[in-house]
Amino acid sequence: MSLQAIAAFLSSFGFAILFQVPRRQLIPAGLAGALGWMIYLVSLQVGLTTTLGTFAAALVIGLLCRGWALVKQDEAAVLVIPAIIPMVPGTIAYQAHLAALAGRFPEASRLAVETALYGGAIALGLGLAKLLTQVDITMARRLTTPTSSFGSCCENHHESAWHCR
Amino acid sequence: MGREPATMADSDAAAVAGRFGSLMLRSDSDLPSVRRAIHQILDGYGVQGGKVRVTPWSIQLATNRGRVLYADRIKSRSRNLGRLRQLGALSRAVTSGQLRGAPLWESLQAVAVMADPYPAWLRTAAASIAAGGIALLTVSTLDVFWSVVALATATQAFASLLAPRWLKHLTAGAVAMLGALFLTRLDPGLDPRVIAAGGVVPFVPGILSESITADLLAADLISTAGRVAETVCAAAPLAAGVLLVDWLVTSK
Repeated sequence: MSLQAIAAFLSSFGFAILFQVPRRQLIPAGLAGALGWMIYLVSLQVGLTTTLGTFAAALVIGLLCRGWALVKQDEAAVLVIPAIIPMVPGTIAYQAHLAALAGRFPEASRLAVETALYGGAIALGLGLAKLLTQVDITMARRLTTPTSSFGSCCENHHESAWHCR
Repeated sequence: MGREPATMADSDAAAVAGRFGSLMLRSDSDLPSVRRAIHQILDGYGVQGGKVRVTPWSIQLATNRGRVLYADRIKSRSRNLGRLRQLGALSRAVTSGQLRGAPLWESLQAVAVMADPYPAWLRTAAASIAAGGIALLTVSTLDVFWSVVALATATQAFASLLAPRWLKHLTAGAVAMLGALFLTRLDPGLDPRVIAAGGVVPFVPGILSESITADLLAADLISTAGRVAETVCAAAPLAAGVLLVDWLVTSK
């Protein structure tokens, strides 16, 4: 398990450099990646499926990184993106293409579905973390101001709205 | 009120928000974040409403009557989290009203021409180590790690000599498979497919699969379809390169 943690750290750290994460955030990004992979492995050990394990790890990473971003007034993506790298099904997507080009269509479809499931689990986990950390701000805005989303706010008739002029 | 064209304040706000959006898209930010930043900046300027159209390749801000205030096409994107971080800080300064006018444009220009913090050789080395790390997650043996690090470095070195992306990926796939076959000759315990898969990791559009789902969840079907096409265009030449070498070697 320690070798796996080191491997996850290396992959997150390496991609953090590739994605031009600032120097100070390189080690935290690597550590977040290692932590996410550990959560994924523990989830598998307690009997969760791979998809649920990926979702759980993405959710925890999302919450931690967003919490860190709120405290530091920084961008969560700087840590989140490198941290999810070990779980991203890039190799499976590549294998799906390999199988499709080789004419092994049942295998290609299975791998494509797997890619979609794992990618979906990551997106859902991160999305839920974003929702949970933004819920207070959104509720406060709704209580104080009428809705003013672009293209759908004609019923509110704000004085400053472009579309109401 | 009720006047068209839009006021100077609207045009300024649209120019700033649009420039922000363009820089975020060039740094390969996800679309919901780009839209949120644009809304925050417009709110910061006290402007609400209007139409914002953002796809991975274009951005357009217009009044509700269709007068275009800002439009840009995004020709190339590469993930740059350092730039996104700077843009986030600028966006907060604009939203809180601390930064406006000429200093804001100067800051935006500085972000646009921001130098890469790491030299190219370091990024190549980092991508190779990351590829080795990912291979190590699949097969927990150190000889696989070192083989993949060496192979990923070789594929990146060869691919960097070529210009169009599809050719770059095709070559990377071919070099990865050739290298994997060579390494398995040296150490028969290695699996050529695992090593070849590790060798192409720096080129695999992995993060795109997460972006596809995020766009799908945001009900952005055009972007979803576009990103799917982008994934296929990036991954298919890689797989074709691997298969080509595999076929050439096994058919003899």
